[in-house]
Amino acid sequence: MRKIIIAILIALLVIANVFTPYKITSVHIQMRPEVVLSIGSFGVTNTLLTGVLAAVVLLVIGWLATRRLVDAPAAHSLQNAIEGAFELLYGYIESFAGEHARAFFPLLVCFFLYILTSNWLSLVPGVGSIVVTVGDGAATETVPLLRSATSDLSGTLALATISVIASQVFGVRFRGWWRHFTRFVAIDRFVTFFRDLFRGRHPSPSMLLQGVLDLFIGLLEIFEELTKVLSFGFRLFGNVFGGEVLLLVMAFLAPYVASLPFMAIETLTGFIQAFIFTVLSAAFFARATSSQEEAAPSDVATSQESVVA
Amino acid sequence: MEISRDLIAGMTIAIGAIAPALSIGRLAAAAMEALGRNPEAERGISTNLIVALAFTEAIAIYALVVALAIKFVA
Repeated sequence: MRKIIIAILIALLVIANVFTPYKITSVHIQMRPEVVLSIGSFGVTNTLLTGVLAAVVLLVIGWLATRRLVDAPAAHSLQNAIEGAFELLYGYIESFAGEHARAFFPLLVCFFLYILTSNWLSLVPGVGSIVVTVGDGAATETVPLLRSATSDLSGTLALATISVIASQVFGVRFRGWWRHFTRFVAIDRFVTFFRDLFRGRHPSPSMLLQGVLDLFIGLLEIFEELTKVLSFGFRLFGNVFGGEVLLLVMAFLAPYVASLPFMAIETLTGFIQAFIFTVLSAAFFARATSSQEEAAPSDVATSQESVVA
Repeated sequence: MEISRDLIAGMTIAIGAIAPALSIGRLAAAAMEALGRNPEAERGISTNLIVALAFTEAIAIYALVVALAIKFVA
C-alpha cells in the first residue's frame, strides 16, 4: 500500500514537472561572487554575508550547547550530542596529528565546523534562490543574496593560507626556529661540514655533495608549501562550486525529482570535504612538528662518517 | 568562438577525468583486497582510503575548475 502511494506521488511529481509553469528558463553561473552592497569602496559579496551567517550559526549552536553545562548531560541533550561529536573528532584528529594533537585541535575543529556549515548552508533552500536587485539606474542586475562561503575561491584560498601559515607557526613552536628553517634552506650539512673542518677533523667530501642535494630538496619543500595553498584551495572550491553547478544544471534539466539524489550526494561531499581539509591539515601539522624524522638519519650519518674518518 | 570554447571546456574535463578515474579504481581495488585479507583493520584502511581518494579526486577537480573557468569566466 505504501509503495503504491509513493509511486503515485512520484508520478504526480513527474507530471507536475512536465506541465509546471515554473520552469527555470536560463541558468546563470558565475565563478566570481556577486557584490550585493557596497560600504564605501568595499564591496560586500554574497559569499562574505554567508560566511558571517555560518559563523553566527556556529556561535548560536555553541551558546545553546554551553548555556547550562552539567557534569552528566542527559542522553538526548544538545550538550551530550556536541560532546560526543567532539570526542569522535578528537579521536580522528589524534590518529593523524600524533603527539601534539591537543595543540592543533582548536584550530582544526574550527576549520571542520566552519567548512561543514558553509558547505551545508549551500544546500539550504533560500541560499542562492533569494535574489536582490543591485546597481543603480540603467545597470541593474539580479543576483543571489546568499551564496556559500566555500564556493568562493578567495574564501577557500584564505582558509588554505591560514592552514599553511599555521603549520609554519607550529613548526617553529615545537621544533625551534633553526630546525624549522633548515627544512627549507637546508644548510645544516654545510654547517656540520665546515665546523668539522675548522676543528681539524676530516669530514668526507661526499658530505658537500649531500649538502647540495639537501639545498635542492629544501627548494622543493618551499614549492610544496606554495602548491599546498593552491591544492587545498582548489580542492575545496572545486568540490563545492562544482556541486552547486551540478545541482543547478540538474534542476534545469529535470526539476524536483532528478535533483534529489544529487542533494544527497552533495550532503555527503560537503561532509567529506570538510573532513579531508581537517585531516590533511592535521597530517601536515604533524609533518611540520614531528621531532624524530629528518633529524635522525643525518645524525646517524654524521656519527658513522666520523667513525669511518 | 563560442563552440570552440564549449568544446575545449568539455574536452578538458573529459581528458582530465581519465587518469583520476583509473587511479581511484586502483585505490579502491587495493583497499578491497586489503580488507579481504585483514578485515579487522577496516577503520584504518577506510580512513586512509578516503584521504587517498581525496588526493586523487583533487586532480579531477582541478580539471573541473579549469573547465568551469573556460566555460564561465569571460
